[in-house]
Amino acid sequence: MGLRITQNISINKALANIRRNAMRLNSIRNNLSTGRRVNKPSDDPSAFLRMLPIINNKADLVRFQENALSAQNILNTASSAFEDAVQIMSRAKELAVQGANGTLDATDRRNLASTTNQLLREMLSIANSRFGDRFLFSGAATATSPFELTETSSTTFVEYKGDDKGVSIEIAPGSEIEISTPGKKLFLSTNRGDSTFTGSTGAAKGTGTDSGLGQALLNIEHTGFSGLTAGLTAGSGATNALGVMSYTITAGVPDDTISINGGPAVPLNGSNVQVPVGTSTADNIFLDATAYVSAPGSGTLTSDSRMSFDGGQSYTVVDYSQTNQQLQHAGNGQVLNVNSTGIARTGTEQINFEGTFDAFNVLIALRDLLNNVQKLPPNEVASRITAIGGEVDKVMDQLLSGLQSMGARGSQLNLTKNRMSHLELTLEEALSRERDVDLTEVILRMSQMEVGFEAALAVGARVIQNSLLNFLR
Amino acid sequence: MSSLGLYTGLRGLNAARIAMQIAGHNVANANTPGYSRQRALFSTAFPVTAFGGFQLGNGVVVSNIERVLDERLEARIRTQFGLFGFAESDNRRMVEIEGILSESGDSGMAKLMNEFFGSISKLRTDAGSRSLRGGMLQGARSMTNAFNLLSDRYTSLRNDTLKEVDALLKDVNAHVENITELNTQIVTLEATGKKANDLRDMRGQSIKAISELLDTQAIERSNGTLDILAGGFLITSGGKSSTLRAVRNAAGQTEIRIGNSSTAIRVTQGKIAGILNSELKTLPRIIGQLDALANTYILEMNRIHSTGVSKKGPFTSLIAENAPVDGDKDGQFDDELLAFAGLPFDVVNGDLYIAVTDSASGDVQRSKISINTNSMTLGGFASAINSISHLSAVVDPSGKLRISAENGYGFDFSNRLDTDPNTDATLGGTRATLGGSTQGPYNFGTLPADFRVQLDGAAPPGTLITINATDFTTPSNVTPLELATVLNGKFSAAGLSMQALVVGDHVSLQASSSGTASSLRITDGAGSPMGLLGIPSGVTDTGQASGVQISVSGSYTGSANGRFRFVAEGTGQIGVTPGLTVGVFTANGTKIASLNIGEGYAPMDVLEVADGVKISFGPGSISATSNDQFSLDTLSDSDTSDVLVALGLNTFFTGSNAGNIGIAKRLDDDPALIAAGLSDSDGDSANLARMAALRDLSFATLTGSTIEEFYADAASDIGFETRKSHDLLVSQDLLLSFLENERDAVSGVNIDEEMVDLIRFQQAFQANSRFISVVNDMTQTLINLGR
Repeated sequence: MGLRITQNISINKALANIRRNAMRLNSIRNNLSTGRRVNKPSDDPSAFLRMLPIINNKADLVRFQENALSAQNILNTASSAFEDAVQIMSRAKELAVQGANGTLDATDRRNLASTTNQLLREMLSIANSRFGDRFLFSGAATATSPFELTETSSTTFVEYKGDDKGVSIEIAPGSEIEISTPGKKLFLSTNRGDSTFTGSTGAAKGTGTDSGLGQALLNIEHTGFSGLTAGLTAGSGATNALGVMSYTITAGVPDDTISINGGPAVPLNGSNVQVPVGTSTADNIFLDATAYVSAPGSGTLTSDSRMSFDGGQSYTVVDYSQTNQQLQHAGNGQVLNVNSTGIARTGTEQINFEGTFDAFNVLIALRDLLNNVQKLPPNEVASRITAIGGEVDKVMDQLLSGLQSMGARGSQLNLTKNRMSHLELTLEEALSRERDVDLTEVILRMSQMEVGFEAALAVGARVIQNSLLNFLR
Repeated sequence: MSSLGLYTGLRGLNAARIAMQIAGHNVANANTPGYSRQRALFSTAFPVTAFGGFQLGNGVVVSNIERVLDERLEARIRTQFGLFGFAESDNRRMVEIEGILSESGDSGMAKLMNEFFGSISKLRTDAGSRSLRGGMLQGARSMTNAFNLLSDRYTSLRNDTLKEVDALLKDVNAHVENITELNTQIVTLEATGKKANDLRDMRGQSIKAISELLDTQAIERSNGTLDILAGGFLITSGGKSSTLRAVRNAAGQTEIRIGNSSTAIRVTQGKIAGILNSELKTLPRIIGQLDALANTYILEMNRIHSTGVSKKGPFTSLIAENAPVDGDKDGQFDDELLAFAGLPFDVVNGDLYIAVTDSASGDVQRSKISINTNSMTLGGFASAINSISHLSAVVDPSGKLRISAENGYGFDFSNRLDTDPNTDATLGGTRATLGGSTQGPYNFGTLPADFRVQLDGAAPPGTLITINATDFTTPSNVTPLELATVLNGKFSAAGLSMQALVVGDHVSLQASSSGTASSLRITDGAGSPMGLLGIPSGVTDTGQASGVQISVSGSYTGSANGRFRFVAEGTGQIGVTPGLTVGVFTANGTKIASLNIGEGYAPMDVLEVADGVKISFGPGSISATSNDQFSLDTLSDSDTSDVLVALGLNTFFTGSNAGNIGIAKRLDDDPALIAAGLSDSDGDSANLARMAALRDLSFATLTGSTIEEFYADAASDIGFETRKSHDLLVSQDLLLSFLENERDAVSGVNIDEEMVDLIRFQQAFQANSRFISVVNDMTQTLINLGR
């Protein structure tokens, strides 16, 4: 600065100071009125850079909380549906206990059966529960009704139409919760045990592992004979004895006689000779002896048969030497393994795939037993109902564990929700530190600045007043 | 003599009057910008010699009126004006740029991008929901609109540069003309030796005005004229001047040229430089960043979307969004090589997998198209699709590819797993099969080599098949596919009803007959070719009455495209034979699992393999001695060539940069077509999960940042620059006012000083008047004496 000070220098300086003070005051007033220190990137670029991720995280948190809320609503609906399902199962258990009571007559059981039928329908409507317009138990196929009941005069079955994908939603960064579990898993018991064969055919469990579910019927039919000699052919009667048998033909008058497996000797006379097998009178074969040429002696013959467990859609020829014959259901592809060595007579064998009943087929099985569709003797019905009662328990366990896992997810959800709201506060605080003004500090600084501004104005006014002119007359 | 004294007094009066006039002029111009105070220079008048040789003083004369001014300071102020002008216009631009971005953190682009990802995350909660699908499109639309708007505003700001510079150049030209005119006047006036002070001040003002706009140098010549150089070029000299004009050059940038010449002058200071700087650096960088961001969004989202499946299931027909550029201008589009097709995104060498679904049975057949961009044309690509059964593709007259499926079939590009990978029944099938255990390519060392085939129980020794060196281009490197083609030719020539199949880089031989009558026996011969392939020699394989049903589920979660090969490790019946296992190998031969399917396995139970892949085996028998095997493609990226993105097949976004990013119209028309999943299940959100994951990925195209980080960096960059330009402006302003104060200290008018001068010269005037009056009295006295 030179030695000379002109009026303009003083005025310009005063003006510049006033302007600078006014600018500062304006920016601080702006901060105070918005409550924010950073309103645009240039206000504090580095704070802005730290701020953006926090704002993004906060927006995410709000969304996660919304997600958690809808997950909770869905889970609550699913849980209450499951509670209902458990109720139905315990009602079914009661019916099974009642039905197993030997003193009940057929009419009483039919009444119980119609109640069971209603339970089946209720179970179906529970399994097809919806939340809004989405099905709860159909996996990812949320628009498809998951379970479909098919009822014909001969069979009743429920098919799963959903898919096997679960639907999960994000409730926290990197944390998802399953809100839609494929119903196939939920309503089906998966503790496969050994299969049991009930019946009189002599068929037994094979060495292989079955994949059938619930119940199935194995039909064994006589198909003819092999190893017959001396012009003997199959008779027209219904042969019910099966398997490899030893025979002895003894010459006799007027007719030769035949004895099978040490059974009584029967004259070979006529087109339909009934030959008991062994000492039992219940097992017989029927032979046509019209073309018989006398040939005493002994040997073995085989009463051939075939078996089917898909209601006659496909047949497997019985090989009496096999400890394991694998049968496949033509309809659903399920597999049944049969030990054929003991098969001795035709008939129907009921197979229970233990531990694989689902909420539907256990009810169907119970209903059918109560109706005695198979026309079994009363004590047999009672014992089978008792067995089904055990399966009802297993299904109930399965439903309860499903309910439990939903409960666990519910509490996980609550924990996450709490953590999220806590985190939101932390973020809010962090954001506030970066972005918001410290009110006390700012107000203090503002009053300081106002003082400074007023001083600048006062000085300006004095500078402009002082001139030699004021003193010249 | 007395007159002498009188004139001395008169000179004194005149001098005082001039000095007072100057003081008045100074006071009057105290507030005139650029005014330099003036000062009268007094000197004694030439003396006369009187009485006896005395030098007698003759009074005072005003020798000159000078401007009080420091030329070096003036030059510094001029430079400072240039710097200030730059800082000012740069700051104004930055404030405008920041204003356009209007980013406050919770409004603006950051929020829209967050909301777009949010809308994806929201849709994941209920992928079938129509309203949430609309929400995702709305989120995308808000974001693309913002991209378009920002790009438009920044581009027009850049385009406005020419107009702005042109307007400022008009000012420059006016000042230059003014200076030229003043130059002539100053020369004329100063020819007499007197300074043309006020004209020089006016000229100084004009130079300052020019310096504020662009870099100026002023050189004063001895005759008083001033030459002005702008950007190193002379724009006024003597009485001649040139005009400056702004033009847009070939690169689309604004350029300043002199007169009609095509030489561009470089401007580094002043307001014009500030504007040019933002055109040249700041704006292209911001536009480039927005474009990179939009481009990444389009590329990455489309990569995922194009390989997804909507809830409406596989496509029956699909039209590409983008057509190639007709590079050779022959009106044909199908002859454009994919490498030079001018598509918005590059096609690279890679594979595209297309899945064709039989809508009645749900069977999926997957085909691979290998793309070599330097040899495949668009038409070639179309015919590659054409060769896939049930699909047809044409390039329409506008150059867009149209793909359609036969009635009853659909297609998609998803990476979902083939649910039935054992279509050829090379594991436990109804046809007799012998598998090779050695992975190709093969090195046939000794050729010819031969082996014998006994098909369906044919009597020994069987049909002889000979492999010759001429069968292959490179016998030391024969791929399984090449070998299979050669063998199939030989089988059919020999009348053998059988085939060679490629099973994941391995070769299996299979009879065409089926059932228990089907049998195959191979006996290795000279050169042991079967030993090379690992196909068992002297083993008879028989077909089964019903084959093993294999069903794959789950979705592959691995990170690379690969393949699982399933190999029988034992011989026996599924679900029955104790210890029966199937080994699982990756494409490079590593064993990753051994699945127990023997006793204890309920046929059709689902087993976990690895990486999310699940499999179930139906009942039946498998054989290790026959090397039963099949392979399953495991895809993480079903289009490694980006051809879908480039052509715009099943894409989400359209366009390629911030200016033209948009949403595919077909999605806007029907939100159900959003490819949320990898299947047609309503609630399948697997593809949305991949889209949501984009948010956390870093991209090389975004300098290794995530999308949101990149934007945050770009926005805070703008903040930093705005801040910096503001700080620069403040400091330049301070410096300028400091210099102006300096100048004022030298050249400015101090009214007090002038008042003092006024009083001083008033007294001088009075004293001179008194002197004249005394001389007058003396003269009067003398006259009276003579009367």
